[in-house]
Amino acid sequence: MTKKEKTILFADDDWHLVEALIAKAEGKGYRVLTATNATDAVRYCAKEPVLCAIVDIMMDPGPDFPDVAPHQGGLAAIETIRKSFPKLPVICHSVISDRSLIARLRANEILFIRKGETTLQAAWTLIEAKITGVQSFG
Amino acid sequence: MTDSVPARIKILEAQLAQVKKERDEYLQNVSHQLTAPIGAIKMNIEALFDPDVSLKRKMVLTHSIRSQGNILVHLIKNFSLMSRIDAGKSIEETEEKPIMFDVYQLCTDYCKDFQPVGKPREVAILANESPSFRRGRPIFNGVKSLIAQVVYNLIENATKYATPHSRVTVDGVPAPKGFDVRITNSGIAVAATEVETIFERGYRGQFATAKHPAGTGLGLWIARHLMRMHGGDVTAAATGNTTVLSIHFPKERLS
Repeated sequence: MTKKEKTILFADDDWHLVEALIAKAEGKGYRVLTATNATDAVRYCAKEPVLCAIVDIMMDPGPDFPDVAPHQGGLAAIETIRKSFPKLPVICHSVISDRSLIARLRANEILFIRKGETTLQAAWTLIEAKITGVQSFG
Repeated sequence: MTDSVPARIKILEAQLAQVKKERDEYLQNVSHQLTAPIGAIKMNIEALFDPDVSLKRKMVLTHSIRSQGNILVHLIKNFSLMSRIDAGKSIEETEEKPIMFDVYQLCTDYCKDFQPVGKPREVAILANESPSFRRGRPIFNGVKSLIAQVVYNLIENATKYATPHSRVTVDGVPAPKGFDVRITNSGIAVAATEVETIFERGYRGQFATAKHPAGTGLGLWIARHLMRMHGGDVTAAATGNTTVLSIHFPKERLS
């Protein structure tokens, strides 16, 4: 696989909160793309060979989602990516604690990683497992 | 009379339930605010020990740890200041005594500290190099850590609500009653009816709440109180999407 084909997308408007994960992914030879709103995240999925999308919930929707509330951009991005690119693994990486929302994400085969409570090693193991398909954490 | 007692008890129970609900929401909010920077620090430290992470990246992460640490310190300070303000303490009653310090230097230091926070959305935070601010270099007699918290809270507020690819500028101008430091940003609108209410404890503007549901509503309230303890003030003015937060340093405490 070429480096371009080993692409991971991080969609988070506070990417300094995922810097460690980005550094780890790059260290492992992945090419990292970052998006700070839902619109850019979905557009990247459409035009780049993204192997996995790690998406925060609370971020701007951007211009392609004019009817989405300002803090719900991540959910809109996740929904659109699942619908438009069903084979693309999606991981939700957020601080939210809404159990019913987390259950809905899991029911839609979206892995949920809790920001602030997951170690770097654990988070990376889960991301790599989603990419390689070795284990199912859905 | 006997009929009204059960009715009054019901009203009080409903009020108590409401207060408990607001307290729980507030505590969740606080927990959310603290979780993100603490989580980032933990992960970044883990990355420093990770052989897969390049040295160049590790250098960047150490800066990020420092920046997140500063954010945490100020966040926690806001919560502790809240109780101090509630107790009604004056400057003379604070443990830290007033000293003379350089307001311009304080502002430029915070502008640097906030650059990593603004970077993801390409928001530049700049101290304006205007002659009146730089050469004038107002020296203020105050409790430095409290004024630092004022400057921090206002720059944080401006950065948080700034539009991506915009600027937050920190400027200083002489004023009739002393010296004003102005923090200007373009971003989430403050409604004209809210320029005073945004300083109320726990209050968050309607547009701000939609954009950032997890805010504490304390920063501006604390900033104003701390400046008023020094005989100054903090005010807001909004035109369209541009907001100017002004810190008024009173001339009685300026040299």
